[in-house]
Amino acid sequence: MNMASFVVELFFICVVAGLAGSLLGIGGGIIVVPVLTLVFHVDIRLAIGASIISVIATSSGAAAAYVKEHLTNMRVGMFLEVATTTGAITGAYVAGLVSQKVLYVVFGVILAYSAVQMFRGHFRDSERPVPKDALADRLQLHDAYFDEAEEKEIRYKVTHTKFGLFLMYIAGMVSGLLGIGSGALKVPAMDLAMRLPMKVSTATSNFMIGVTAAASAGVYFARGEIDPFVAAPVAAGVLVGAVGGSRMLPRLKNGFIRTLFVVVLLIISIEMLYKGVA
Amino acid sequence: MAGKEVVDNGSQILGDDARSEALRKQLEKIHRAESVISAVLRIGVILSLSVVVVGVIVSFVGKPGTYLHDNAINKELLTKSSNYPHSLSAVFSGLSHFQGEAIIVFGLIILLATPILRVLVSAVIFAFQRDRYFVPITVFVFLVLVTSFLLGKAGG
Repeated sequence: MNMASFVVELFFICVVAGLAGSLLGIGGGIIVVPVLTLVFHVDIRLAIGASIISVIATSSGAAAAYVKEHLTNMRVGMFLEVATTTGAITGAYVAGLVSQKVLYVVFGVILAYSAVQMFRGHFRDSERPVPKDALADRLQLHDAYFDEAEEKEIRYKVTHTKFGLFLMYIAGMVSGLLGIGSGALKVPAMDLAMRLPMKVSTATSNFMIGVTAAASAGVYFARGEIDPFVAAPVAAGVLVGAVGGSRMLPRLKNGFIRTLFVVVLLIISIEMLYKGVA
Repeated sequence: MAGKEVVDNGSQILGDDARSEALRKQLEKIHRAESVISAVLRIGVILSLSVVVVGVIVSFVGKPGTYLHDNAINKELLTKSSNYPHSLSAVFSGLSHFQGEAIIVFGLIILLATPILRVLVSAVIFAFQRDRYFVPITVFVFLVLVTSFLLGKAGG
């Protein structure tokens, strides 16, 4: 295979990664890294460098639309970024202290548990009252968005802000420790704990992941792990996919996004558990 | 009345009561901030994508022998290579020579800088809007990002 066909093939695969990542609020690394290493036999470090690029491309590519359409709750996102960025730095520092294998098992279990809880969320949603939260009131986090699928405005209240902040710190730490999984933990935290509507959760997670990834991108760049010919098709493909995904999300139903997310969460969880025991 | 409000299922955020005027203003502020931030992200993405595409074309046209040769991919990709610029000075010197790899990396740097610029711009917007909670929040996030760059240690 020559360079030109490599670039073209990788571009098209990354369109799919960008599409999935922008719909679900995750970075697309779960597609990009295995494709690069297993299909194209690219060095793992360059693959991880490219996946950082893919996270930022997914985030910026889709957030431009989500923010404008008011699907992203920017106040929630920006507030929680306080915890994710600090968590990422902490994670990078404690990385040497904990066994990666143990971490993979722990977070594999946490993600599997989240998937089950989110699946159960199908049957109990929206009817349950949202507990009052003074911090959310003070920060004016409550919001509303126009749901194109249901053709009506959905008003929602945000709750358990402090607990959400704690979970985001953990999510930031995990991504600092393992270099992955930031969105996979952020979405369940917003959906299950803070009770944001599903699409708002994925759009807000999508908004946040770019910042967490950008914090670490400089390091990968300086180490020479962002190869232009691996990263260029990834960036371009993911951007195109993410823009496409951002057109679709407003019209998809919350229930459908939740189902899709649960399936992907289970796959990531199995992937993590496998890495932990293999 | 206040004592009864232990739970609330979100029905009165945009109610027509006396608070609605304040809420309308609040929403207008949010809407304006959103337009600016969305524009920052869109410009960053379009700019970076264009520069990356130009870089790929320049590389391929400039060195067809290297990049269209059958074995080129093995040399370049299977192992971690350092043939491409990965410091700012190398990128800029490459740009001045219209070197394809340097143009691609420059486009990627624009992509990396976009979310950081977004945080900085939101801090400025909140400062204009005199938001006493979100100015410190966004400034803090920006400082953490700068710190992580300086420490060179934060993970993905």
